[in-house]
Parts: sequence; C-alpha cells; structure tokens
Amino acid sequence: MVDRKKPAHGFSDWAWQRATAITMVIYSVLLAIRFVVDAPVAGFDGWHAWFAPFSFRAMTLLFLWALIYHAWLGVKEILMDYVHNIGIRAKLQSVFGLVLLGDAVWAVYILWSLA
Amino acid sequence: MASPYPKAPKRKRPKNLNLLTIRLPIPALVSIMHRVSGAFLFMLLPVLLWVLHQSLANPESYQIAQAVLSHPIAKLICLAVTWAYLHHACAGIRHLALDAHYGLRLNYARATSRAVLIISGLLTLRMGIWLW
Repeated sequence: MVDRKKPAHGFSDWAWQRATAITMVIYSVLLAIRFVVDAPVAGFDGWHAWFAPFSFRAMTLLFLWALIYHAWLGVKEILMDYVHNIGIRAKLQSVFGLVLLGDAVWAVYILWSLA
Repeated sequence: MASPYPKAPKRKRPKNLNLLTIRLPIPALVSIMHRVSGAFLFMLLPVLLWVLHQSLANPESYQIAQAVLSHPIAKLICLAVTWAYLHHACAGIRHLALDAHYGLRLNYARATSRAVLIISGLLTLRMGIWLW
C-alpha cells in the first residue's frame, strides 16, 4: 500500500535499487581482485580459511543483503508490470518477500556459523 | 447524433504481435534480457546459497558441493548464472550512465547495447574456460 503522506516512496525505491547495484559492482570487482592476488588454497581448509577474516565475511554479507534487497525491488517491479490482479499480486509479493527474507537470514547463518 | 468531425478513412494498418517474428531493436533486446536475467538470478539464489553453505559448513559437505559442481549440467548452470550476472551488471552500469544522461543519442544507445552484449559475452567465455 502506498503511503500518500510519504511522497518519497517511489524515489526511494529508485535510489535504493541503484545504491545496492553500485555496492554489488564494487564487491564483485574486489572479489575478482582477491581471487587473482590471494587465491584460496585448494580443498576445504583453504576455502574455509579464505572466509575466516571478519572484514571479508562482513563485506560478503553486505553484498548478499544488497543483492537480496535489489532482488526484492526488481521482483516488485516485474509483478507490477505483469500481474494486474491486485489480490494475486499481493499474494505473490508476500510469497517472494518471505523467500527473500529467508535468504537474508540464511546468509547470516552461513557466514557466521563458520566454526 | 452525427459526429461533427469528418469520418477518418478506414485503413488497414499492419499489426504484428507475433513475438517470434518481431525483431527487437538491440537496446530493447538488452532491456528485456536485463529483466529476464534478473528474474533468473532471483530464482537461482537459494540454490547458490545452498552451494555456498555446503562448501563452508564442514569437510564432508564440502565434498558434496564439489561433487555436485563437477557434474556437467551443474557446470552449465554455473555458466548460465555467470552470464546472467555479468549481463545484468553490464546492462545495469549502462543504465546508470543513461540515468546521468550519458549515451542517450540513438547511435550511442545502440553502440552501448552492443558493447553490453559483447563484454558480458567475453567475460562469460573467460569464466567458461576457467570452469572447464
């Protein structure tokens, strides 16, 4: 539901879509650079150790959250374009929203359950 | 009541809504691919998180992830995901430039669309070589 008291609604979606996109591009470039200059040692131990630094896990989580929020904005836009029945659209939107929320929590669990 | 305006001549205008024969201009092609690749990545995200989870949880699950990823079909999916991600990223960067009013002229819009297809294609090829 659009809150008419908040005129910035559409703009903030537009701005967040771009802010998250730029976050992802920066992370992708840094990740590619790290893969070249500091490649993970083959095998589980090397891969696990590659994810050990707090800074890398924090950046990776920021990336995943940016991706998930970006996906949420994109999903809403696609549904708005193709699903014109408000009731069905609302249902689909909540299902996809819950999936993305699950992804976001899962991302924290994956990165912070490393023994 | 009769219309005060002269009747418009009935003309048969050509109409073509057949998606298979419509030839999209290249910026439109890049645009729809941007959307399709985004939807594809959204659908594959749980699978990718699952692989990341398996690869990091413990040595046994790492073996499972490795076994899954070494399957030819999995590699093909990896390549598709890579292509989708790179195309979406390149087209997105082009979009940011358009937001800033760079490359709005038709010939530039066509050239940058072609560049998006070529650059993301080459980067995917590079990833494909690395994967196999």
